[in-house]
Amino acid sequence: MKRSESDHWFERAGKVIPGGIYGHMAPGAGLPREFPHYCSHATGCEFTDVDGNEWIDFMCGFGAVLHGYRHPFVEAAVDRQRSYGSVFNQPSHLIVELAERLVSNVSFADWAVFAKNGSDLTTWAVRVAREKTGREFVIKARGAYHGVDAWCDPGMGGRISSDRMHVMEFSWNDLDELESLVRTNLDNVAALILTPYHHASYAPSELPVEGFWQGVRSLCDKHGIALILDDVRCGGRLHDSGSHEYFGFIPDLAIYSKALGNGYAISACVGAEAFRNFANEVFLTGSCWNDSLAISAAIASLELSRRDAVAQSVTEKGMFFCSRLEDLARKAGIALKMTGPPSMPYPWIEEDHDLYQVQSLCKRAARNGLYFHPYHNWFISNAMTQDMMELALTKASKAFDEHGNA
Amino acid sequence: MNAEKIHRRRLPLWAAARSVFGAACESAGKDARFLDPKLEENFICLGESGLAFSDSAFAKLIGTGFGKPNLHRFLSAPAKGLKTIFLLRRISKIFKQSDSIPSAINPILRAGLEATVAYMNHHPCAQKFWREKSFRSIRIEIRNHESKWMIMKESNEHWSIQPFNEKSYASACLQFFDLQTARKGALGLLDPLVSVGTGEIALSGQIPLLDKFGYFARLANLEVPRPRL
Repeated sequence: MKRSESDHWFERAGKVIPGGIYGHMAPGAGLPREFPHYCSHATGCEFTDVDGNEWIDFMCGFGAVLHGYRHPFVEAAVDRQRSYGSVFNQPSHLIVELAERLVSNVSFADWAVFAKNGSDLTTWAVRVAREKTGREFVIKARGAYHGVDAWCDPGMGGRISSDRMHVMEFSWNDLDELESLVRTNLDNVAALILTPYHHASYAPSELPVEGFWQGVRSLCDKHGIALILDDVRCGGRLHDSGSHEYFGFIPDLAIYSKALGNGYAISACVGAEAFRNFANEVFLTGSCWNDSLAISAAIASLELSRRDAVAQSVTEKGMFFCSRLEDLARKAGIALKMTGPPSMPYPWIEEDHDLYQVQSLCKRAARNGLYFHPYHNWFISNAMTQDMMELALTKASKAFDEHGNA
Repeated sequence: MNAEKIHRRRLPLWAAARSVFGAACESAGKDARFLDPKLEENFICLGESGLAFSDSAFAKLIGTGFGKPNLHRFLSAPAKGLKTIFLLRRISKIFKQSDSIPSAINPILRAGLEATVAYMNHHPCAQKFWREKSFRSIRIEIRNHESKWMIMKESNEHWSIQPFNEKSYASACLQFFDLQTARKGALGLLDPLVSVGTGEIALSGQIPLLDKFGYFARLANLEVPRPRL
């Protein structure tokens, strides 16, 4: 696979951008010499890198694209708005339309606010919970990702001891440990922030055990703790009206981003009436946060999700693909298990705790034009067709054979 | 040596002392023991000789090549002290070499690894980073060369560098593309994050473990005085 252009641009980047590429797209976070460093263009569920290599995509811009790259319905809405402008002195009226859609679509939501990234609003939601409860502590699941802010980021630098002084962690699904944390800090826990299921990197995904969410809700009710659902990654992929519907519980606040704008940067926090006044008190703004292009993209994206029952569609596609992929792996002697919900599966190989096997497998897949990430859950695009899945499975089978023969 | 026993201010000097010892392990055989460092309340002592330096004298020794040892301690075992000084001179020459051969590069690389391991053990942030039980061992190697080291977590939860043998299992592996890359890496002449993207450094296995190792390696590279001796 050619990579001279990728390498050329990366060499230039290394001189002017710390690390060349940072964050979750940094070379070290993926397959540095198999994945391209830079993309050129994308359509549907395929993308082309700067060297002209074509890839079948299973990451959807790390979840930012749900309906497929450059979906015509979304792009047409954005193009229409572009002719009017993007950022003004006041918000576009479209922000009201988007808030109304979310309030109508999300069962417990009485209001909505918008920003650009998931982190903008996970942090804000924690502050709203603190404002409401007058308490300090926030509890999260160990290993869960909630953004780039100092209280929760997975990095190591730039921290001071007070950053996490009021953050406590428990093991996902361990209600006893959670209850113990709450009891130990009775009347001082403001919020419990959780993802719909546990989708940590470098580890198999864990679904909630029977009764987990009901136990969480009941504990929060009993102790007056705000339950914040970080639906940034899953939103729109498990259920069109929010992932709480998929797992059958009601949060107090929920944050959406990634798929919300189908590739246009926007995040939303919705909340119950009881939190409205407290939301008023926690300052929230950003010069480009009222970007009407992203807002129009989100309106179109939500419309598509409802019209085409997209969450159900990507779930069915994921079920087919994951099941066939596991079968092919089994035939090649690889104990591959696609963990987590089928629409966003995480690849895990039995006994491969140090990840050597999955690295090798994904490298071989990459050489066959498949963007299979070894450490992050994948995302099934709704643009994925049956033919494309069959083609991907054929390529995967070849990669599995190569892996088995190595 | 417990993490709490090394003051943050003294950590770079301790790491430098460990790195000099590491270089000696790769180049001086059994004589390396003359540079095995110990940290005392007011001194950094080198090996069995009892050659002891105040922190400021040791910083001078590392940074300029000359630091005045404690005279009383030196006179108590002058022959051993002289042996230590002789060894320090030998190490100094290695750091000044620019050859891309293992005998020149292994001591420098080992020195860098020792400094990193000192940070992995004693940096105030360190303890919370090593809670993950699967973080057991890292293999450092140079592609197509026999040079390999194992950084192992011992039963007391301390990291140490141990000789590689074929039975050694590593939770993660960091491989330099060639000797020259390894040399540049050890001397802090590579941007490690960029180098992963260019293929000069290859990572495999437990990437989160290597992320943390890399963090301490970069920190040590910035803070630990490079021996000029």
